[in-house]
Amino acid sequence: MIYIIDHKDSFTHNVVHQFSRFDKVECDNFNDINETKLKKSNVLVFSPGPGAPKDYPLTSRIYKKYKGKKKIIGICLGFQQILYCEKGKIIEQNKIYHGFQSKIKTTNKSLLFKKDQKFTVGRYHSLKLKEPFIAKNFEITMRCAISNVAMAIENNNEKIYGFQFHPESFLTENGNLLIKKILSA
Amino acid sequence: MAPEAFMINDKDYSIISCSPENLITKTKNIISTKPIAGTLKKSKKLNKSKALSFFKKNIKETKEHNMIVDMERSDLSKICEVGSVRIIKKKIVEEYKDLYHYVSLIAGKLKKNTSTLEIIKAMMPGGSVIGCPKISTLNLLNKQEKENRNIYTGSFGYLKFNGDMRFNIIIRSILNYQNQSEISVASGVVIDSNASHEFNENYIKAKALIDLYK
Repeated sequence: MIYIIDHKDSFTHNVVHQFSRFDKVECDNFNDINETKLKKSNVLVFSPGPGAPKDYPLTSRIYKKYKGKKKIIGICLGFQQILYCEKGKIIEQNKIYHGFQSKIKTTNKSLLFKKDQKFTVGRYHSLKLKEPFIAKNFEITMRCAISNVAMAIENNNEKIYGFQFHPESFLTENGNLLIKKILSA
Repeated sequence: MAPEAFMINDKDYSIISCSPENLITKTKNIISTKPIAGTLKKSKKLNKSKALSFFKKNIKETKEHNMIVDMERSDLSKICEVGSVRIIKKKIVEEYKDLYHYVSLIAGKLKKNTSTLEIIKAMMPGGSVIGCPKISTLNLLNKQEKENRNIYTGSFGYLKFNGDMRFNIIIRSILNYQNQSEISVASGVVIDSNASHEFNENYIKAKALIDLYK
């Protein structure tokens, strides 16, 4: 079972539908987490949401508790939440991307996706990861083709993955395929 | 001209609305919504296809529209079967008396036994008049907007005994009450909005209604 932790976002049910293609999905608000579902789940998904990772200490606590024990996937804010818990700095970027479609490319660090592939994604974010970012077992596996901003991470040892863009958006090419690959990793 | 227009004529008040925007159409187990995000004033130089190319090239209008489409997909996904939510018409132009609108049509197949209340809770208030993410923007709007919106950006429609329904978003409306007429207009503000452009957009939207008083 996949347990989606919703940060009261207006795209969360797109995420629910996307993951429901592959497994049973449960979804609750971050401040109303059901401990039984949390324990029973095989995969935890941190949804997109407004604000910054520092606003969601409950989600950070869940991440620290289940890191290495369950597969964890973060999307947009959820992606930043993972990086924040790994001592990454989340900062404002000069340009704000909301409803923005742009090209990204895979790096040679990815074990799941072929390197140097370019594809189109939907982005909704005003914050980004400050680099250099160094955390044990974490690799930046996708980047914006223009600005080079980090767009995806993989930690294949502890099965932690994240996307800064929105795989569930209608603006993203092959979003279902991305999720399928991560879920079967 | 305005597919969602309506009128209520009560002894104490009346409402007339030339709304072009449909929030919910439910027929049997199919539900759709048709958000509008993007407005362009008509001129002699413009036609429908030129308006479409204006919207496509305009990054601000495109981003705003994209956001609404993803948000409405998500609202429908709360009550629809997995994999059934589809964009039926993606970013088309509709022509009205004084303006062009940038419109999409999104539909899905309702989950079995979805109640009327669940549908209304999932879909209202309409994303195009609230912003994104809904809960967070509603909180901001409550602090920002000093006057009550009254009927403006609410919904008017009908509910049949068989559960079918149709609701609009109340825009382009006049509320007549105690010998006064109230016309509300607004425009969506995003990060790269231009203040004077947004302000002027309100006059374009109000024009057809204000002209009635001339």
